[in-house]
Amino acid sequence: MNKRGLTAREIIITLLAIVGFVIVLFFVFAFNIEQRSQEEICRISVLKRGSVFESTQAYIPLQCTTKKICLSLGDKCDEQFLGEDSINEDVSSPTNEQSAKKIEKISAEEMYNCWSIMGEGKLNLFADKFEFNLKDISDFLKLEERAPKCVICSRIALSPELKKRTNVEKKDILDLVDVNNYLQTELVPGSTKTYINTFTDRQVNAFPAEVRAKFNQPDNQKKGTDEIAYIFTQLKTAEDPATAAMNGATIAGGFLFGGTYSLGMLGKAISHPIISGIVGTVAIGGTAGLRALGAYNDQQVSAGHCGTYTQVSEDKAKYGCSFVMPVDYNNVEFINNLCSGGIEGNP
Amino acid sequence: MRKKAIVRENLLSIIIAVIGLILLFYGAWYLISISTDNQEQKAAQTIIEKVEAKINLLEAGQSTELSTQGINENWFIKGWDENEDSPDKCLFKTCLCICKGDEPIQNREIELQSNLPDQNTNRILEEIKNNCQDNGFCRKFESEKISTHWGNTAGSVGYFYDSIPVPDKLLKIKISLDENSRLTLYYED
Repeated sequence: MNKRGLTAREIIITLLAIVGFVIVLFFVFAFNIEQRSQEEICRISVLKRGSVFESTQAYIPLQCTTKKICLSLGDKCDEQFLGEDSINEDVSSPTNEQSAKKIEKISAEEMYNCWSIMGEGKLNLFADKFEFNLKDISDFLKLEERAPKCVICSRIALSPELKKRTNVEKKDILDLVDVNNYLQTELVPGSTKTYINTFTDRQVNAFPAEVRAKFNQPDNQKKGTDEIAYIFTQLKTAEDPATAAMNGATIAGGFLFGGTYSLGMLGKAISHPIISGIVGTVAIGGTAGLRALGAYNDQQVSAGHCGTYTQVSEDKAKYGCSFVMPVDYNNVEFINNLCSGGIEGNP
Repeated sequence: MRKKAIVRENLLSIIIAVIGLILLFYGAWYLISISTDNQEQKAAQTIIEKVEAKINLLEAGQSTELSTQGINENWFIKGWDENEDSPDKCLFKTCLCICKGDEPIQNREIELQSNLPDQNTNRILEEIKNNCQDNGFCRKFESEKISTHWGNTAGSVGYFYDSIPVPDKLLKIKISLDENSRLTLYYED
């Protein structure tokens, strides 16, 4: 600085700083967040939260709005989505098989989107303080004082007309729906891997015969529902659940589970308390399939991932498990138990 | 002496830097708070619209249920009859509001049931009304009376309050309209 005031260099630096700030503001407001799709907004907020220090995560809201999809035959889901914005997916087709395929496709895509948008279970997303006195349960689950928190990614409902389309003997539309089979045989859009291949990090290519047999066991014949919710849930553990389950051997990755069966890493790690706790919860409360009436194959698989979270580290690695589950939305008690740490996002 | 000279020479730069940092942190905090508040308000509007839609379909003697995701423990649902001292935005109509308080509504409800002097009771009721006027979304209805209740009568120590909390979990609210045109919203914990 000379005696007359600021030097030319300082003036230029100050001006550049101001111009830079204005450019940043321009981008913030020019790309108005409201104009983006709900999924894009959610994905960005997940990435934002997953890329900051855990101590600041609570200040980054998850801007995820539950997607409401009405599966219909041209009518509306007024009972489930009255007063809410929903997407009407008309599944009418020349044959029942084609209609069932449409339902399977929508269900599989919603399950995958939920998993993908929420970071495939690899991001540490829920960091605010644990407030409930669940010491005993957390000890049992070896939680690091963190109850599971959830985001309800989407709700899929059956319209009144579609609800009527079940008749096991005549194989009506709902009787032909088999989302588990779709997950096994169809490729994730834009990928060369099937859904179950993707969920299990290439560990599982097909449901083994014994698992298929278990679909038909009485324990897995849950009553269907007219509204299913894909829920992402995440919890933290004091130790790496995958390593602990294998007595020190490091394995991590995705898995599929439902009722009394499990596939992938979980198949080996089922003895770990946190995993058996969650699987037990699912088996008891029951994930659900889209059926108006109870029938075999009603229970759809859930996907999970256990291991070390990828995040900005403050002191030590963070471990935990994440799951995406198809749950009966009408079973409020089950959902609140599953999400005992709270539900984030917009209804 | 030398240090003083350096500070004096760079005084303007230091002031600009400090002001810049304050502006930067304030801007970041402001953007985050706008984003959070907007999200809560959007959720509150969604909930009250769902409740309104359900109520509008009810006929005398009918009841229904509503499942909805909540927001957080500071939000609550409260109803006022047309002849009650309600928020101004209710305009002498039977009114149902979803509002944000400064603390969980449970705390106020416990206070209201603890034999307070009239003066304190009035203060709390006034605070609730102001929360709804300043930080709430209200819907008016044609029915003459409305009541909102939150209770748990299953345990040995039951409770019964006159407003419904909207915590961050899934809520199931029972809504009924009786033959005397009384709307009742009930949430059992």
